[in-house]
Amino acid sequence: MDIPGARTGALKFPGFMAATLTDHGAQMVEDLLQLGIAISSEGELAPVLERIVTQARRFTGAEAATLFLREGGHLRFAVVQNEITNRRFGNYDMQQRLEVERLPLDVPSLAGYVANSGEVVNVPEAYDIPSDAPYAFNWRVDLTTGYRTHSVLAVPLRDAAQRNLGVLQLINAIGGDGQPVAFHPRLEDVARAFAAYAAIAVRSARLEELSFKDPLTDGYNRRYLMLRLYEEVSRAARYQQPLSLILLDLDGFKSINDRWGHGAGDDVLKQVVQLLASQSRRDSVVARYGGDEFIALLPSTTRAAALVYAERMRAIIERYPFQYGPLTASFGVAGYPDDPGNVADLIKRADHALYEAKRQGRNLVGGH
Amino acid sequence: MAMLATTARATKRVLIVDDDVSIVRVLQDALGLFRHEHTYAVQTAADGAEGLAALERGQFDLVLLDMYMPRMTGLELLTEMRRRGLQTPVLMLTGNEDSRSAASALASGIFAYVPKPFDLQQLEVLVSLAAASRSVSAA
Repeated sequence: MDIPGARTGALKFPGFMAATLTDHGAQMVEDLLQLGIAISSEGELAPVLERIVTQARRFTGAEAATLFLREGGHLRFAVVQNEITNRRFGNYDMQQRLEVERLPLDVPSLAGYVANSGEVVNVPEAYDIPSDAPYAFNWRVDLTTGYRTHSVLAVPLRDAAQRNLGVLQLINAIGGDGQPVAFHPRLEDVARAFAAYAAIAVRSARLEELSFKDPLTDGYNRRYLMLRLYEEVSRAARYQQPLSLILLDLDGFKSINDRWGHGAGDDVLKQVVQLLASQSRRDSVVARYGGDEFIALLPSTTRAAALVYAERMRAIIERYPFQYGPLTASFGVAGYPDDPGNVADLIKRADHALYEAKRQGRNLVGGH
Repeated sequence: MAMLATTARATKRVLIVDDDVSIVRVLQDALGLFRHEHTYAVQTAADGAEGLAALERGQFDLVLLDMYMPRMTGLELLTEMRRRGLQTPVLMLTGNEDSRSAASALASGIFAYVPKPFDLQQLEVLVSLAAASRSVSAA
């Protein structure tokens, strides 16, 4: 790999380097495995990225690091780890300073160059980059933070389709004497391995954001329900067609969780969704609205017909042989055009009807 | 550095036929995120008749077909496709009550059926297998 900056000046490498690449090799494999497990099992992206950056710093001896994510024509500071500036400003203040700061991709910077080219950049001294190098250091961030950047190792977050999703930038390798030194060229592959993990995590999170599936019940999630609800309400108004909404809340669900544990509660939620879906028309949408609350959206259905459907579902749930004992549910029904208004009004009406059903003793359908 | 980038990535043409605009939008976005040896060029159709017209006009490597649509159902479109000799691989997207018809669709030669709401990670695998299936059999 030809990196002009890396060839200039006397290179000093951290003393622990040899150990990192031999004795600690097994530890690194172990840590990478653990990261892999975290990526595939943890829902939230931010803590996973924090962990990746922490491990990447550990294995490269970097004092600080930034993980940028590409968003349109900018790089966003997704993770900033720098204990030196944290001590000076506090972590929160630091994040605030950088959050507003976005790195435009058309302004010369090391990270910007890496994001655009997909190349690895390894420079021993950021302020000493030869003028004929294809990249330049953007010292504005140093100006904002008061931190002095010396050595930089920046690698792209490439996904399997070779798209650059962002940049992992490791800053100031610390040598045996506590002074910044250059990043050893062999650390480039180490950094790339961590960046590849970050790319997988980012892609999984983006797929997750797109998903219409409720991970707990395998039914539709609230996001899909709301999208469909807005579409169906405007369609109903446009074509003067009826539309109904049923809100369903399990009675005494908390006691199942308390008595049998959350796994049992999750099983029950899943069964309820399957029951509702199997008893619904093809164009109905059954979704978990939150907690143990469900919504059935019934297009082209009058409130009167929805009340009949809700009553049927109430009886089915009451008789269903749930593994953890009998269970009942309360229902609230609202329907256009009987209950006129927008999406929010319709949900409010159904919610009010559900409240009435609960108040009148549960295992009932409200909204008559 | 030996990178996979040097291997030629063919563009696979995918037709999405679904009357649910939210589903179509998500499928388009997801296809853009899918990890693959090939990139996807996506066309969409809002119902069976539109889908059939698109299939008659252009060549596709894969059809994502909704089972339940007004006017012409996915199953009807599938039957019509095969009658006209269009052997494009089909992934059938099925809803609430469609598992029985999905079984009969399997009998009429779809690649697989995918129950809604789909798991995008699973769909990713199916799409890449199905899109590659014809080129394999043609080779």
